[in-house]
Amino acid sequence: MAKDISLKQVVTYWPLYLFVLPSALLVATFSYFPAGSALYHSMFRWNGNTINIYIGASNFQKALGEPLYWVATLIITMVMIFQSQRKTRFATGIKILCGLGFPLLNMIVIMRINLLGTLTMGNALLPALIWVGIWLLLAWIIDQDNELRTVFRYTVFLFGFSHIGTSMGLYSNFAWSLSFLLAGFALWMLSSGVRKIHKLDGLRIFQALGGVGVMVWSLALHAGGEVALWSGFSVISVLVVANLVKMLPSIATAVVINRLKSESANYWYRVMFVIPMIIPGIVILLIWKFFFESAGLFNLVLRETGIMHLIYLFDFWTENGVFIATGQAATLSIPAVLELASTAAPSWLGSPDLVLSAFILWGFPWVGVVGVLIYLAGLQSIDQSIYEAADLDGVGAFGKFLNIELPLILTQVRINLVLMIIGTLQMYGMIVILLGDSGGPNGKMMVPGLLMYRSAFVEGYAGYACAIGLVIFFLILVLAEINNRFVRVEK
Amino acid sequence: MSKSKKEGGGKWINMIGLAVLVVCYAGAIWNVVKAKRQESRADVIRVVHWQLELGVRDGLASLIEDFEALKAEQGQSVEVVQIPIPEGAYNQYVTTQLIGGTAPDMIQIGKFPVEYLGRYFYPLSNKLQKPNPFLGERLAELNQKSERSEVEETQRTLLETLAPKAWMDTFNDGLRGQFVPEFQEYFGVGFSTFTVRMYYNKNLFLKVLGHDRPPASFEELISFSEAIKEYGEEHSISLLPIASSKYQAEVFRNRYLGEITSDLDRLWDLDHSGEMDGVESLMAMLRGEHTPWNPQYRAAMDVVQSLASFFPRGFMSMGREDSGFAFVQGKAGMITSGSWDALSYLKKIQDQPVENRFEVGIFDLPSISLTHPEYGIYADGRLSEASAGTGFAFGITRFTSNFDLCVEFLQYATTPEMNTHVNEIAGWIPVITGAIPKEWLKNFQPNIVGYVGNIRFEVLGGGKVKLREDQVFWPLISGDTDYETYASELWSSLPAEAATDFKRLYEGSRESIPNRQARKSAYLANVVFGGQDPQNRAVNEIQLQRSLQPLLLFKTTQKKMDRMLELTLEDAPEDERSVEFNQEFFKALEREMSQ
Repeated sequence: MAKDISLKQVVTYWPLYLFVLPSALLVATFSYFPAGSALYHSMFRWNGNTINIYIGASNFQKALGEPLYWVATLIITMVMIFQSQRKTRFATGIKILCGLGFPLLNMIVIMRINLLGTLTMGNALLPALIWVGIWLLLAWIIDQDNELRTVFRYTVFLFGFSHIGTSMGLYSNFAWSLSFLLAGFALWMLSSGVRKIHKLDGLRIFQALGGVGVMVWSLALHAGGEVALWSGFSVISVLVVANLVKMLPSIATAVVINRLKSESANYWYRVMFVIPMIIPGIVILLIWKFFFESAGLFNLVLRETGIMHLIYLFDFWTENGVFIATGQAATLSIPAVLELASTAAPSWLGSPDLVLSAFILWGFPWVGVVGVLIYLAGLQSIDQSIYEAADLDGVGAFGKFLNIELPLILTQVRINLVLMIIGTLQMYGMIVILLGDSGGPNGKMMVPGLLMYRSAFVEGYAGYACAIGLVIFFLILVLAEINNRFVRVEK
Repeated sequence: MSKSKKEGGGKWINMIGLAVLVVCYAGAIWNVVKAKRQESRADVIRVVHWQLELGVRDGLASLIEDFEALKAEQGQSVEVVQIPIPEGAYNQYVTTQLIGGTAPDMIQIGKFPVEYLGRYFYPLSNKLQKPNPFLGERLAELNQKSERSEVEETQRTLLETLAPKAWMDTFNDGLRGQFVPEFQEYFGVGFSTFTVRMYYNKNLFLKVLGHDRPPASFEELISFSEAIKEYGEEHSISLLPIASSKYQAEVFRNRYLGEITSDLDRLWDLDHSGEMDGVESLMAMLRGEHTPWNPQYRAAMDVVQSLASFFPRGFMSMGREDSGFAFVQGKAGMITSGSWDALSYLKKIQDQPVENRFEVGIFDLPSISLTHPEYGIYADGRLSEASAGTGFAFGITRFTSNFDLCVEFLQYATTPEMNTHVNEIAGWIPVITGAIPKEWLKNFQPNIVGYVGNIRFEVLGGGKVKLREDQVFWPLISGDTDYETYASELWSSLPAEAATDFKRLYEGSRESIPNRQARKSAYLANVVFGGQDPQNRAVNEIQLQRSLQPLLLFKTTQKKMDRMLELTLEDAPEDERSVEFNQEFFKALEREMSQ
């Protein structure tokens, strides 16, 4: 443990700090200086060549819209995060403001600008069935005594109600605001009158964060900022969720390797995982580009395994119009659809409806080499006696994973989670290589990182690019702070 | 083994890693020292370009070898280092090198803003207005020979005409392609020119069509493509009528948009500058004339869509190399590309197994005939290739310490002999008068006669309007959306994007004035303080005069733009769609200008 020393002692022991000085200088030069330069240049109309004119916060105004709303939201969010763990009246007030006030305000604003949408009950049936099904499944799986039972129910309600509302034709932001308002009302107002709700405080904090999220979403859409920037963030959020799911195969692979009884086999599997690391990432990316071509391997595998038929049937029933044109679907029978599927060759990177799916699916089976090795290192520190005790208790293989392995590698999972979120928020290189700098069909993949790159190097607006970079930085900062405060690993 | 021996052995093993590290470090230091010594012995000039096509690097390498040998004979140790950079990364590389002050001596001009030329490159107009000394030397050498071969005699006759001429006048186009009007200067010297043609598989044509002549008209292009497609389907072979990628789709779009809308370009060119600029494009949009529903524009897009039906599925996500592979492997009947790819295609076809090789034919993209039942009413005729001036040009950066050597290199490269030699290896078209292209490149000679111009949705080069149009064009041309959806999506987002681009144009025209003022001051200083040399003074007086012209042009640009807006408002359209566009545009412009 590091020892606190006084300033006088620092002066005495100054030679020791010389060892730190080179690293500190390098970090200052290559990390802090560029960041400071970006902050400085974000206030100029700068083409990367000569600094032209000081324009103050204009670049931020262009990206975000009305700055006052954003500044107010940011201040309240940070206050909420700092007060979240406290139980004072002020802290409770802030949480109520965020949890109930923001969604209510949002709904009122949306109603005033008439973005409610037109209700059509017919489309709600399928989503309702799906979410009721999930509710019942969770009710069956989760023990009555499980403290997280309420959390699962609350989450299912939020997602389900919002999905149903959106399917019925409500404007999606309105549907989510309504969900958060209703759920928040139940948590804040009704909680005292009903039986004890487990993890109530945590749920209220989540409710407050969700309320802020809904407000931020609304500002992004209606504050007059750069539309491409905020639609890019919505694409990024989908990719973050997808990448979250894609972390699971690495964990599972690490667990399987760890459980190999033979040490020799364990060693060789680790070597086999390390060897592909020498292949440059861009080579793998270009191979996947080749796979995604219409006549490529991906479509061939889908056809041969019958998955293409399932996809076509789903598209036919839901009338999405992605694979079968809406007008055409009305004239087709199921055998005709299957016939169509057997020769189908959709363009995964060429269609605006499929390109996001392609970016989610690439890299299958998503066993990341670095992730596997990191989790494996964590798993190998688990003592064998714990497994033996579990065997004696009659715990099965999956039970060992849930109760022993996963909790003990949560630190590594958390680190990878943070790195994954940061990497996904900053990503653009993959998109430039696969789709070019226009963001692909209909600009579907114009993510914030790509917009930043294009602003700087194609349009010559490096100052604006710096402003976009700082917006991304602040978002990462807020997410990292939320992760630090609320995602805890109990040792 | 005793403990001490074991410990000693362990220590030795630990030393191995350290030894490897020290050896590698020493090797790296030695390499750096060697390179520095080399530089101090020789004059080193670095040349960077993005041409990775087959033969180009070899051609340049051969030129470099000859130049180094020539200088060695003259007692000067010279090393020319060629640095090829992939095209996709070239802009970033050049930008960071120029701004960082570490740029090579010579850079291939292109893929960076024109402002960089004024700031980072030496103007070459003075040098270009004098004769190329290598031509005079060669002529003197030939004149001294008492007996000359037929080739040498032909050369001598040519040089007698060329040697006294200004260096720029030895180019086929007078180096017009490298004149930069913003600065009224020449900054680059080029080695080749390029045109775009269609390559076709003669063997496949013979098999499918019964003949191997190329299509003579647009209608024949369509019918040949249909025949190839049907042949592939009948015989269950994967056969593409036209191999294409996003790159080729752009070629077709530019060509046929030009053929059908060049008259609109002339009509909407309000200041009669010879081409419709971004502001004029915007004015036409505000007047309700330049819309996606304009019948000529619609017709042009229909032409491109009809061709796109013969492209491979998902072609917009493919790269140029992918379509090239399909063609050289005999899986496609035709492909369009420039003369820069000719050698690559021919070589790759020869690399195929014997049974897959085929003979390549070349033809110009057929024009839409005036009698075409659908599009003939709009077609003007073929486009001119007069703008296919000198390309593959190199400029000399201000970071060089060997300016004269760089000039010499460029002069040497642009003698008829060396220009022929470089382009022979590269498989490209030479640009110097008297330089002889390869026989099969004669199909690529530019056709000068024709129309110019086309209408595009573009206000600022590389701006938001162009980006949006590119984005919505993609699903249209891929067949994923219909034209009405394309038009609606484009038109609805144009007002805000056009306002952003217009604001940037407006600001750019004002901010470019200080750059021109600086240049004017430099010329003025040269005139006043340039010494007693009358030739030097005269040259600087001419430069000063010329520098005033762009200043006047840019000083009035903002007034011109303001006046154009006024005229447009006076002549405002009345249809609902255009009225809405105008309202949205001016609302967005007000928002932009207030920021």
